[in-house]
Amino acid sequence: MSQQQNEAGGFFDYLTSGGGISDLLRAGGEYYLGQENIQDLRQLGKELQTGLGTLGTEAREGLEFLPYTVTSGLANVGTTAEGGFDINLSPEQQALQTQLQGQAGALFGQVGADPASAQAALYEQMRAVQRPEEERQRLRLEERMLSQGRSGLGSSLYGGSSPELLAQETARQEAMARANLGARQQSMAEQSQAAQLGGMLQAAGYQPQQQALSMLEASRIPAGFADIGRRTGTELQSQLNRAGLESRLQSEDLANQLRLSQQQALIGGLLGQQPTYAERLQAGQLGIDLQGAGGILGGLFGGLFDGGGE
Amino acid sequence: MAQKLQNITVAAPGFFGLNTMDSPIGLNPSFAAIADNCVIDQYGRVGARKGWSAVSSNGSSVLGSSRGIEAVHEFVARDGTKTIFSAGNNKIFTGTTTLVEVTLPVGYTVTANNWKIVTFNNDVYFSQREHVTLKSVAGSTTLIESKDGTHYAPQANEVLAAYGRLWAADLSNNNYTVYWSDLLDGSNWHGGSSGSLDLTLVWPTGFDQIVSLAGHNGFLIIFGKKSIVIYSGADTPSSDTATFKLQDTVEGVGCVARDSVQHTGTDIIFLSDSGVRSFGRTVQEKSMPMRDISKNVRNDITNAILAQTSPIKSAYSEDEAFYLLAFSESNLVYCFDMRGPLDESGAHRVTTWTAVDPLSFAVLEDKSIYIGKDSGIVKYTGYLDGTASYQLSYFSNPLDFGSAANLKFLKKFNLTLISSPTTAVTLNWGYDYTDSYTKQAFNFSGTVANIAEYGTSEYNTTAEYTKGTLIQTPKVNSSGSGEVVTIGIEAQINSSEFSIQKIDIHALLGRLI
Repeated sequence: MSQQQNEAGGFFDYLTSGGGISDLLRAGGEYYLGQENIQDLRQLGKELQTGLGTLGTEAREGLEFLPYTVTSGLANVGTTAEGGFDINLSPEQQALQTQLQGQAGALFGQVGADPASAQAALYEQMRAVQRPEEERQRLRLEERMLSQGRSGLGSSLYGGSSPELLAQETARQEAMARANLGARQQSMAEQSQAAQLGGMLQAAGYQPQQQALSMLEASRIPAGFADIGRRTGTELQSQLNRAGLESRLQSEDLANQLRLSQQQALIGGLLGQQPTYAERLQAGQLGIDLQGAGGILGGLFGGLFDGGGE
Repeated sequence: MAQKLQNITVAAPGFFGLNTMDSPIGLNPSFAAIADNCVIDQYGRVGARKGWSAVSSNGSSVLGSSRGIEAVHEFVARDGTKTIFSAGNNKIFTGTTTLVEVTLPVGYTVTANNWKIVTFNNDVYFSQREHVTLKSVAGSTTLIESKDGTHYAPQANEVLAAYGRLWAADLSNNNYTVYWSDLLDGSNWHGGSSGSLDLTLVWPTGFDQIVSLAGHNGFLIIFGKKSIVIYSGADTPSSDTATFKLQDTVEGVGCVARDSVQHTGTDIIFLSDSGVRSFGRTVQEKSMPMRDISKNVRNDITNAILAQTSPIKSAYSEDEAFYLLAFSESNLVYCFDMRGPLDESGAHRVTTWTAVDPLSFAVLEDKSIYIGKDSGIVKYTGYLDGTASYQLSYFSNPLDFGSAANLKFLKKFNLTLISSPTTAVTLNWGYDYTDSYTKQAFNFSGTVANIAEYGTSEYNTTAEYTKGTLIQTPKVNSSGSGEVVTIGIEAQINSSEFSIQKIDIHALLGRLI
């Protein structure tokens, strides 16, 4: 109990001493100043964030792709904001492309068809050419055999037929075989040719688009000029804005330091300079009592309390 | 006042054979109206045909009630062995004096006897419609089916052996195709160089049916019923050079009887529906004009054809120089003298035979003639039909002796005959186209003479000698009168020959009618 009374008495002694009020004011002042600086820094941070955001937005907007369209008599090619492009061929080119692709499709249809069908068709064509002459020869032979009384002749040596008919039939069969083989070869050749022609037509069908794309490709140079200007401008703008923001940040920081220093100086003037620990050590070494540097208010309060106490 | 007798001579009467087609008035007196059982002998006279003597002795037992022997064929093997094949009573026989049935393939049934039997490459082939062709290898009495593997020979009614092959035609369902066998292989009709010829588009008349085949001078002659086609190059029918081709065609004349086709060596004789015809070949022109052999008996032939339902048979004898054509159902045989034609028409002298009734003929290598009869096989020889005599009949056409308007009074006949003294002869005469003749039988009494064995009598007696054939000159008085006169001689041929050399007629020409 007496110890507690001693401890409470010490605190009030301190408060009632001039040093204690000064310290108290100093702490309150420093707190206030700290709070002010914090508020300022927060405000500065917000403004900086806002400024950078604005700068970023401007930079992004400045760097955004601007679609453009290239137009000629063959086609117009329009780029899109998404980075794509639309090719619009002229009606003539579109019709040509459709025609070429249709032809190519037809030819590719031949390529995919069974060669036997083409072979059969070719065989019939070849036989159709051969048949009239064969028929004439057959009729001549028939007339000759009839006049010779050999139309009904048959011999085991000739497979039950006459030598003339066998020879004729052999020739006919050979012609048929040759036509069949020729038709096969021709069908394969035509199929290959159809594939080649289809490829050519297909490639030709792509040409209008290719030309339009070439036109777009050619437009990249002038479009690049505009793009570079826009990008450079935006970059410069961003750099300048950033530099502005950094300058402001430095200025605000300096201003804050200056204000802080000013306010600390003001507090120090009002409440005395609170020595640093090093100063205290130094003062202790030198035997200097730092109590007498309490400032105006420290002196005021110190004198107040000191007199009353005495 | 008495009128002088006029002598009319009919020399070699009937020398021209029968003529039933021309008008008898003014006809050459050498033509005969009837010449039955006659032939034209080597001297151009009308003479008696030969008779026949039986060759086979068992005909009645093997032939039963059938028609008889309907096919006869002599096979001469390479070694000279001769075999007689014959057919009748749905059987095939071999042998002569004794007909022995051949051995047929197992299960083989014969239903007809119209066999065409040919010799080819030392084998004998038997063919007829709807029968598998049979084959006798080298004259074997065991017959086999003619086939090559599973391929049978055509069941043809006509088969010809010529140009190293067998040729066949006239099947029951195909009478427009000629088939030929492989070279030198009569059983191979399916392989080798065998072949066929469809004549459907060849017939000159558009349609015909093959009846018979013949090979002649490199030609294949195909007889249709109404037309004939001739092919050259038949020796190489399967050649690839088309040498086998139509050479000639004949329209309107064909062959109506398979067995009527006979080769004479230089000609081919066949029976058409208008009579017997022959090909006369002109080698240089390679054409084949035909001659009408039976022009003088055309209607008789055509009537006989119409009356015939059984196969008509024929034979050609180079030795006898005749072509025989038998119409069994008319009991008639036409005998054509083949020594030469009478005139440009190509008509040959023709006589008839009755009482022979042949069903088939075969001329053998030794020139003898075998005849298939109801009794079996007989041989054309002698002057008896078996053991019986037969009658020769000769009748002239009505004769006007060049004076058609005068009455003729026949007074006397002076005959010159080559005859046996024992031959019974009857002289017939009639006036004005009558068939009721006045007959006068006569004999050669008083003119009979014995002839020597060697033509002379050693002792001028009858010793050692027999009666032979002599020239007889009987004289017969006649009567009556008429505008035209028909004369005839009937002789009963009995073991000796008989010919009419000359007929002298003493007649008195009367007033004009």
